[in-house]
Amino acid sequence: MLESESDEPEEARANGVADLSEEDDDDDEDGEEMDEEDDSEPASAEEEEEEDEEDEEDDEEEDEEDDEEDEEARAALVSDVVGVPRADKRRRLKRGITEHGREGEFALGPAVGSANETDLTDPGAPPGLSIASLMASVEGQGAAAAAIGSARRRLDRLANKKATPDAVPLPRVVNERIERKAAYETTKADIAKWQPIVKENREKPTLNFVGVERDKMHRKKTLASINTDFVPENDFEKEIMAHLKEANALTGEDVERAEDLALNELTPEEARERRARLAKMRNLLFKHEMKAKRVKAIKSKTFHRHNRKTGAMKVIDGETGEEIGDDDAALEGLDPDNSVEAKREYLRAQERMLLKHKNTSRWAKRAIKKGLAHLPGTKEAIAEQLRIGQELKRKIGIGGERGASRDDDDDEYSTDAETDSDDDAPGVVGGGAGAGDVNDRRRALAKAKLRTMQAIEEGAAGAEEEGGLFALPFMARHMKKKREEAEEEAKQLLRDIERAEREAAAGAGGSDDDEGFGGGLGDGDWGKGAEKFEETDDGVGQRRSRIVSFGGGVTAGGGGPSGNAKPKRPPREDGSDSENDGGPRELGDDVDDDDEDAAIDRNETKMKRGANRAARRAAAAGEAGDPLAAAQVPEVSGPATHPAATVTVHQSEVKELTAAAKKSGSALKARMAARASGRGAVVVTAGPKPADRKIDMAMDRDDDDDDDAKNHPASNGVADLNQRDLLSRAFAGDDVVGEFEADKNAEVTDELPKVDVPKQMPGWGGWADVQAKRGPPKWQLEAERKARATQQKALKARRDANLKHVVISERYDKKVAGFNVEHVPHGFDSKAVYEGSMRTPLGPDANTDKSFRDLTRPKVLVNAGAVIRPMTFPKGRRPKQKE
Amino acid sequence: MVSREKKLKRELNKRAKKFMKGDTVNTKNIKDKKTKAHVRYANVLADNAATDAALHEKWLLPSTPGAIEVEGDERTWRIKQDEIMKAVDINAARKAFDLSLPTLGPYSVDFTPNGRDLLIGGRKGHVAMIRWSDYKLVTEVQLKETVRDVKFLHNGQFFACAQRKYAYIYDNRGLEVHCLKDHTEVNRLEFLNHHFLLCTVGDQGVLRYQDTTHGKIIAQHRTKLGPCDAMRQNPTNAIIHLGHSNGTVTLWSPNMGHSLVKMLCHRGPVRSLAVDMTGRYMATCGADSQVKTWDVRMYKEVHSYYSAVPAVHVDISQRGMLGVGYGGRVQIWDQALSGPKAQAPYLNHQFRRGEIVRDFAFCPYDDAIGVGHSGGFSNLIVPGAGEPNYDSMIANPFETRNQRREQEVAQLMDKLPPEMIQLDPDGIGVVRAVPKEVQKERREKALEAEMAARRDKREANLEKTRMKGKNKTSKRYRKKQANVVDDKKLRARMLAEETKQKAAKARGEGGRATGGGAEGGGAMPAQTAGAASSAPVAPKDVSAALRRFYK
Repeated sequence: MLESESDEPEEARANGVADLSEEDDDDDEDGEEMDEEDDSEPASAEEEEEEDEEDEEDDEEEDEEDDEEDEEARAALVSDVVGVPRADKRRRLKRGITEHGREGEFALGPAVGSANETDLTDPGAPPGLSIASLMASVEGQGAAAAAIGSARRRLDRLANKKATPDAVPLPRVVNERIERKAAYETTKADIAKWQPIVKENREKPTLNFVGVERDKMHRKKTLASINTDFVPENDFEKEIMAHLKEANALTGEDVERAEDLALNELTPEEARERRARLAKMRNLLFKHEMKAKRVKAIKSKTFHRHNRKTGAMKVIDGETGEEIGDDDAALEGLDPDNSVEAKREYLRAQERMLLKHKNTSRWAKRAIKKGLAHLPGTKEAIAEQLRIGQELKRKIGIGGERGASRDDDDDEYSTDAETDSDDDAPGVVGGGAGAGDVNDRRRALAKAKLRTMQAIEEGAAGAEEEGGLFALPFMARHMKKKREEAEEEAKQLLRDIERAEREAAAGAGGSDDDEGFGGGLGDGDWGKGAEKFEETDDGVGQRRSRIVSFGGGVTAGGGGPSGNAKPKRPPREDGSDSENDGGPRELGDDVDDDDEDAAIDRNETKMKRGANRAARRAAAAGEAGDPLAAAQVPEVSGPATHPAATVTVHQSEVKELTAAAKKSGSALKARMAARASGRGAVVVTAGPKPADRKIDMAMDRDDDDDDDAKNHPASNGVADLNQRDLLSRAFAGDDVVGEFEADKNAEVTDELPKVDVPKQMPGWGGWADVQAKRGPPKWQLEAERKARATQQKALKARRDANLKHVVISERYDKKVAGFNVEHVPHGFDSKAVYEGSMRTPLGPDANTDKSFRDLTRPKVLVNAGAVIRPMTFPKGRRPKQKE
Repeated sequence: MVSREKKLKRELNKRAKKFMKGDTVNTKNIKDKKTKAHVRYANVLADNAATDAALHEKWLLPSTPGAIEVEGDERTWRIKQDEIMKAVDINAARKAFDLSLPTLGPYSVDFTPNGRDLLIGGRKGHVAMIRWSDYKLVTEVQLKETVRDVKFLHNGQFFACAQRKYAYIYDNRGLEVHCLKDHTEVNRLEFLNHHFLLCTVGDQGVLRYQDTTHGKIIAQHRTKLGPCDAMRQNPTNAIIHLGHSNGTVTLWSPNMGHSLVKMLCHRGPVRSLAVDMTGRYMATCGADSQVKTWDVRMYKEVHSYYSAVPAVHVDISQRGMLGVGYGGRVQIWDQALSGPKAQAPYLNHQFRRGEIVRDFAFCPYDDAIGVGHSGGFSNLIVPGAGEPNYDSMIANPFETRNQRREQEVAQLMDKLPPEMIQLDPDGIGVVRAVPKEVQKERREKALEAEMAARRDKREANLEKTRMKGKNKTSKRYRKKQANVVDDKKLRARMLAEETKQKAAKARGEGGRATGGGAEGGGAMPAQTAGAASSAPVAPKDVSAALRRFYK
């Protein structure tokens, strides 16, 4: 115990583990430690002591110790042995450290002792001061012996024990290694407790930090909360706060109160007035702002041009209407709910009559006369006057005038709107037509006549202007022929119009129209005047005729713009009829054998005829894709010489046309053909053979439907047995299937893998003629065969190999490939597993909301900007204990 | 006795089977632990999704679709609109109405995807937007130009009009927002909701895709098939179907300048076409008086119906009812797309005399069909046409202003890139082998790039023939660099390698051939004639000096 205790500090230093101060604080632990180490320590301690002694001998000269000190040392040693508790351990330790002087006459060191005396504890140790020798003096005295009894007992025990010297300290490297190992063990134990938690986190599909972190954050949600909690901190803020307080404007309430106080000075009337004024100003400002915004948003250049130019035009600005300036009085006479156009028109007329803006005023005349007009201001004023005058006189291209003004420059795209305005009168649905439509009809006829004559003139005029391709002799011949035809047609048309005019004048067929429709079809109440010709006024028809008129334009007007060259559609034209078919048709003569009866038989009852015609018209309308064709009730009575239905086309002609068009791949022709073939279909539907109605018209199993029956060709019972066959015949000319197959062949060949086939070069490796005689060499044939085989294989592997009417492109889509992987990703054993792991669609439209969230939840959920703090070890969990 | 819970569970599982996508992946044989866990979790998610869907179907989709029930000899198609009106409740009866607009031309019709707004466009330039819930007019403009088609963009805030020359975009106040000058002479408009792409096709026969979020034209494809007047999208994969005048229907994606599929559907021009909500069936009508239904997965005809008059328009409702319009009549066919061939229409409506149908559209999430005709616009009640249950996260017929805004943001966040459009909507992420040609192309490109880099380096290192300053540090450094394998050297080396390989191959073949010849009794002189000598092949590590002794 003695050695160990005295050596303790050194040991501590060597190990670098224990701390001196720490030792002071907890004695008990020390004791325990020492007990544990007791077994191994003594030997080493003894050795160290010996070394110490040697050191002391070496330092002999330096030692100059006082007697007192010796005394003290001895006392300490005694107290050590005796076990008297010391007051100050630290001091003792300090002494212990410095106690290494050599024993001299005056200083009795531990190494000095009588030679004959041997240390009890260590027989082999050099003679010196030993416990036994010291204890000898104390021995024997009763009271003293009794007092030190316990100490002696302890000493005896020590003496009996076989004390061994301390082992030599391990080399540093080894020592450190051992230390590291120990440290590793501790750290490992410390860290390993996290293992299950980390694993758990790793395996989690989502790490959620949202709730946790949000709770930790101190956030203010609203501005108000920030405001209420605000405490001025620095000087600046404090100063501002003070000023605000002084000014009584600390809170919103304060400010309001101050304003109220200010208002108190006003009388209630004034206040009200002020408020009203302010409100009005605000309102005006807002209105103005909105208006400016809207005007600014308008992208139309024309509008801005007008807007910029109009000084006076602002007066009757399109949509504000109410803003009427100096011409207010002038407009008073007009109906207030009259349109803007009307107002504009009125102003225009007025301008034309008056001399207001013609610089005829006295001032202007004088200025001009005196030669003041050259002065900048005057000149401008006069010019402005003139400009306003012109502006007012001009027709602005909106509303009714638009079509007329546009017609010339926009020939290529004649709009339906303008068509509408032009053909206003005939375009009105018949139901509303009353007595006044005789006049309308006349007007329309006059217009039509005018147009026709114009067209004829223009056609004649445009004849010479041909050049380029049209100058070629055969083209010229053809053109001439066409022109003549067109002219003929136009003349015929003119005659028709005139006749119609005469009839209209006589007022013969006016009211019959309405009756025809109003009374329902199939009533048999179709008078002569009810012979109608449908107007195509609808869009499809219009566009078609536009396209057709490309050809027709050549016919009628030569090089002139087609819009002009095209005569106004004659009233006798049907929706699906058009100019490109050449001259006017004599309907009765053209009719095919199949439907000759239908077309010509005039001995049939009126009723039947009416029904047929109606059916045909409906069919024509529906078939030709003219939604309006049937809707537009023609206003013009047709010529009496055409008693049969509106259109009939020779079947063979249809076929021919179709075939021709299909052969020449041009879109225009194809379209014409489509129309023509459609027309063919019209003819067939007209055949009145109610008995042989085909049953497989699945779409039309409604012949019992009485209302519809009258309207519908099929249900009317006029359907033809041969309709289907005829239809197929109509389309027989165009070899759609063959064309498609050829197309498919070309496309597929294009996509087949390219194989390089080596070819023998004539003259290489032999004489050319010999080679030619022998034919291609074997290797070449072989290579060719191989190439064919590969291509055949590729052909069979195609997805459309067994689909006759389908081409499925197998080109590589590079852009889509960006969303694919080229190889199965690492970890997946097979394609099936990889793709199977992604088989669930992720979108919200394929999943419930919950599944959608589950499927698309990210790996880590965290609020933006939130700090993720390090984990704390969960309280409930204990690390696994190792035995 | 089976407990109630078990019974319920069994029922749920049975229901869930319907919603399972593909088979569960067997994870037993996966070696990689992480992958195994991943796949297992994917399986769990898939299961849960199916179960959830089944639960939803059971509890949250209670509304059953409407229907007409007839007794005995009655036929549904005999029932007229006014009879239906009398039979249904007031709210539903309100849906049958007519707008008489006789002078403004035949109308084209469109609904928003949630069926909240209706847009009608008269051919003569009258465009009106109507709120469907209370039939209130939102906007009305007279464009004074031909209007060929109208189409809503992603919601009721904007719509596009195909006008005389260009296509335009208007907002819900009727103000012109954009003039799309790239889209000329447009006949048909279509909007791809998930991709925010406005598609147009017209007389030029050019299909154009324009992104409405940033305004760029994504793709322009020349169909080379002439003017086109029939276009529809497949709602499941955003593929555009075009109908052409030669009777073919072509399928397009913005990624490919060539049609993906081309099928011959009719003998005459294709008038109109429609694809159903599931993306499985397509209906076409042609000038050859046929109305056909097609299985778009197989590209095979399912049924072919014959109409006495060629139909002008077809449309398919959310629940798969087929609408066919011709002349002054609209017919609705139920279950006509697949299964046994339908024998009679479900409903039949004849418009007044002179009203010719041009366009119609089924109202989403409602039992109604809006028909645009020459006499204006008519709305008909079609019991059972619309999907009765809606998902407010997808399309909400009762959307409020705030919901619409939220939805718009969500839509934009979920916007898909146009490159994702492909025939197989499940094709994203799957393994796709790269064809040999593309691989070769890539290799060549990489090689070219490397060669170019080396060439640049070499050229930079080439020094001018100047005597002065030869020993500068920079020059010396450059000289050193010249020792690097540059492009010329590399090319030469590659060439040598190639020839060597070829020779080796030829030798190998020749050797085999001679071997064969030997067996046959004597070598063929012609086969060995090309060989340089009978010297042994050089071992690999032989030095250059000794190489001449070898073959």
